[in-house]
Amino acid sequence: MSEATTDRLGAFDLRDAPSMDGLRACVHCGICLPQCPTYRVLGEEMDSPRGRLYLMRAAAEGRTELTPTLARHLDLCLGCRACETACPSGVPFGQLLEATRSQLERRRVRAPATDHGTLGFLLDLFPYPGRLGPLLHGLRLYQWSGLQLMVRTLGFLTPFKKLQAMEALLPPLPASAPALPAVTPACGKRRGRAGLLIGCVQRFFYPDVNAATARLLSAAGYDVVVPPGQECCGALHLHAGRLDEFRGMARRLIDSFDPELDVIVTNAAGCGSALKEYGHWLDDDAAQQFAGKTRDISEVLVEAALPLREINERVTYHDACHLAHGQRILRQPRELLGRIPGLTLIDLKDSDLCCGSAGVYNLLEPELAGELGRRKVERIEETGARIVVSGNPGCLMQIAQQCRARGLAIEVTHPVSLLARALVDA
Amino acid sequence: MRAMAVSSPALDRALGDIVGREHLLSDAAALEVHAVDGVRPRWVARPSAVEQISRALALASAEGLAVAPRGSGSSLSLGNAPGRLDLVLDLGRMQRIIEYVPEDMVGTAEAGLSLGALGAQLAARGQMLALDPIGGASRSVGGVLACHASGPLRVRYGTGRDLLLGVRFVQADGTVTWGGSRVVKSVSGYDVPKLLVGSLGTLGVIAEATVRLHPLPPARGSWVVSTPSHAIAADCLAALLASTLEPDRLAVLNAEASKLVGVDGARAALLVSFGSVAEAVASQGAALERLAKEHRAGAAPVAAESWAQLAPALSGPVKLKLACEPRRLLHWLAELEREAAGGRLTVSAVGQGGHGVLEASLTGPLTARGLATRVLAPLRHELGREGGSLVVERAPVELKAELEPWGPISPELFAIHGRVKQAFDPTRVLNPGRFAGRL
Repeated sequence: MSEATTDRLGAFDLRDAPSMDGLRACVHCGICLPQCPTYRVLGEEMDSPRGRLYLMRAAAEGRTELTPTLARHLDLCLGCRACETACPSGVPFGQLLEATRSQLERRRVRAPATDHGTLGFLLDLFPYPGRLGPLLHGLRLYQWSGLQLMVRTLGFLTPFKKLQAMEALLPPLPASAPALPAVTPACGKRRGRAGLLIGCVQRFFYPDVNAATARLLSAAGYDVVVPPGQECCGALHLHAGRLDEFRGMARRLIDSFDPELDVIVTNAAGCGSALKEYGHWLDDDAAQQFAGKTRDISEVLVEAALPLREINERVTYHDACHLAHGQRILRQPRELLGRIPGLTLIDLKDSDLCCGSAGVYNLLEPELAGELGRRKVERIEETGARIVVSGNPGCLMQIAQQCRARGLAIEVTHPVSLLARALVDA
Repeated sequence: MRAMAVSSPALDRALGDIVGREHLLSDAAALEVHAVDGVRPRWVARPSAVEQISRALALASAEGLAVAPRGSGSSLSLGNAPGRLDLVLDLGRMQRIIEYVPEDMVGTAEAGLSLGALGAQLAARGQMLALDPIGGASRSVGGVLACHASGPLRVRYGTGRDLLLGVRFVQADGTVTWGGSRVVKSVSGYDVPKLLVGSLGTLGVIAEATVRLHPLPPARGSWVVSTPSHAIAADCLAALLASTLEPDRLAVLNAEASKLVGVDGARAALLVSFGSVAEAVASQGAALERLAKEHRAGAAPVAAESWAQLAPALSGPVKLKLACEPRRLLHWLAELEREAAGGRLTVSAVGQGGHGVLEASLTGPLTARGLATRVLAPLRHELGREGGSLVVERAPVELKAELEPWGPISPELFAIHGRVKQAFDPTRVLNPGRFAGRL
């Protein structure tokens, strides 16, 4: 029986409780099940979107407590939101999940099978450039000295599954790139001023993607403003349910950008999706405005006419979940790639099924993520493409690692890198 | 509640032995997720073979457990809430195709296989199972038969009753029975398959179904006829059915549902497809366009995806299934819309033109009283005078307790239902309470 007193919603308290209307919108039709990566691998109703909604609703209606078992079923969710795209009833699954996780997190309801130690470590590392930067200096040495080759060949890390997963994921680190100029002026006809989010993972692992983004934006007619003090957007904390820290990060990020900018541009699907939801979680004018003018780089470039030279390559496109499902961006990246003369874009089967990366998920649940990664790369291999592109750094790392593991010579890159390669400088 | 403490661990062990420990669930989360209309079972068992269903039911029958079979779980809210529930038999692991003979156009599949997965395998040989309930690609073969669900293909191919040739099912006491045949023409024995279609798992658990298949047409084209009034839609529908045109799919859409296929501003619409050789498709389409024009309506070709776009049409929190005389379909659609508008409810409706079946979902400020007084009572009363019926196929649990999902049932008919149930399941093991009259 629902006996919602004023300060409770069943097992939830009212601070960031999942929305009852959202939970009630599910009519259990099951159309989401075949779209859910964890359901496809595990085949368990409790590890399907419908099952997770049942559990959240049971908690909201006071039929169950927030137990470690319940937490585990929610922990296993990748948060890819493929179920939202599939759902005919418009259940806002991502927001319900994040709200529920925030209550589990705040009350320290933890599943023994979930590695909260690693999660905490990663959440204290990735969003802080001041911590990640120095660590990567060390890792660069590890790679360049040949130590990595030895570790990988001899399998030193095999007994340490998590550490091995992290090590395997490490892409060849670029030399520390020079910081992007604070302002890159527009070329040609000026369209406006764009603020560029350089991300926390992107800036260290794929600085060339940020450089390419700035160059393309400038060619598209934008003055590109890169606030040097910008930190993390908080997406990882949002997905883990650490809403207080997320809100702090979001607030600082908003403050670091000039409110007069015409558009805020990201080239990382996960960040873009989080930025666009600032309005929901922060609920004030500044956040609403910031969210309202956030665009993925593909949304901005698709409206510009860029001069592109020929690239004769067979390319396939993997939909990052937080582009396809989080932001419903499917057409724009494909259209942009299709504009490169000579490029053959090959359809990827199940292109919008999660690759297993999902933020830090592949470090927390290496087995399940590995299975999804293997399936993804099998599909990629079937296309016969030489290059696979995707608009999110996490996907790039995960797919590249799976390609390495299979011994495939497939180039894994970001769409803007290909576009920048084709761009004819004015 | 019956005493359960003593026998529970023993039953737990016995069920685990039957389906395998890892496929017997009894933790709170699993039970919550598999609850039927809010009624939690004590176990969820996932058999992988007919023999396991048989042993589980034999045990349930001996111990007086109440059992609910489950396919994809999409339609568990059909019927009354269970009177009691101990064991959910989840057939999701039973997904094999047992036999498929494309030359005979007959196939046998396990009950848990989804229509979508089966369809993909058949399509590779240019064939199909002609069952397409709206939004039903993920529903299971067994569940669709047990719920007697059908869709736009019905106009040409009929329902599960016409397509199910034979069935292997498990009776309440665990006896495995085979009914029907594996060929298209057969007259031997009782026609048990037809009895099981629509029985909602109250007479036996369908384990395998042998179904009649049809060729996929070599070419298909779809058209939408948009009409400015219900009367004109009714005229168009009547003219179409009386004509020599042979649609292979037909759906009557109300204004809300027609938006899903890109129609804006029509009071009603007909979504029609022809399946044949390309020339015949084109000429039938042209004839449909002429027919529409003669009735002051407009017909235009639409993409093949339009049919898939109908999937969300019936996904509101309340779903109704209304049966009436075929020629009165649009009349009852108008009545439903009128009553719903009075209660500030939005109706999205898909009708089976030619068969007098109208499925509709309702969204808006729903209350049990509002539904009962605004929609159910007046429509059931008027429909009853014409021999029609109205079933609430889905409603939120908190409302459902106060509704009569099945509507009135005549004493004569109920007596027959009672005798059939008595013959198949005298101790009321299978889905007790869920069928009409709480059988």
